[in-house]
Amino acid sequence: MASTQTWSEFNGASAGTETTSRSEANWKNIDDSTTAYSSSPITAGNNSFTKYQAVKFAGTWNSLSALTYKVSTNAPGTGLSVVAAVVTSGSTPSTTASGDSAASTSGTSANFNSSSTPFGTGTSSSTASGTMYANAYRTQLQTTGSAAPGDISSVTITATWTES
Amino acid sequence: MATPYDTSVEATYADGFVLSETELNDVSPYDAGRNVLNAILEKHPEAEHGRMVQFSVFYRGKRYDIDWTTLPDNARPIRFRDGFSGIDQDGNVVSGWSGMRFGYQYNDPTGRNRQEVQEL
Repeated sequence: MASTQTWSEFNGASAGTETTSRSEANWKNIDDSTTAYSSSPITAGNNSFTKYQAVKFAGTWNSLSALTYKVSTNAPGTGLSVVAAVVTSGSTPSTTASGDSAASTSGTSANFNSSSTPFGTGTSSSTASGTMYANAYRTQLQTTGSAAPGDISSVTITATWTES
Repeated sequence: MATPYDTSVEATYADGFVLSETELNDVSPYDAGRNVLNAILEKHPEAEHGRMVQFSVFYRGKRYDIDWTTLPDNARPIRFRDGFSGIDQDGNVVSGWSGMRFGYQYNDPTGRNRQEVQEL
């Protein structure tokens, strides 16, 4: 079995409302985990709401370490950029530019936080089996007026780690 | 016998007892909150079954064995697996293993670290 992983999304005040076992990760012009992206599109020249996600481990392990988050591309099209940061606290998602740097395509280090929340400093390794949240990863799709209408190329957000 | 899980471990002991990560769904029979590798590292089976004589890992359809009888008592098995989990805008969540390392480590009588690890 080893560890198993699911993705959680955090919305609302202080990004404090969790939706577990997410299977989609679209940036939208609304802060929720239910509205279809096509119903709340981001218009050219604007930003998406910031999106807080975290990978959540369950099962058994001897140790987890060397956690990173990365994106498959941080420039998925003309006038489009993906910015991101590993965060230790949550803010209420908004369309204001997050101030984060371009999302890394090679990996940004993150810690393992606790069994109940991704928000906190955490530690670089975990020997506590059961449930373990990684630090949250905040992303935002930022656009300029030159962004083309329609769907963007899919961006994969990937967590990597070492497990014994 | 079940097909071994990718990256799983198996330990064989002096009396023939086999501790298999796959058979136990990676839950230690000695501590339900830990995994099978932890049981091997903590030498839990050795009181009943004698010293470990072989340490094995399974990866991408192959089995890799270490003859533990050639190693000193203080040798410790090494197994690290590199995991990934990705989520995208198309509704896909894909998780798996991208590589693993296995081997052993011990300190020789002079205290020097001796380690052999193979990347698979």
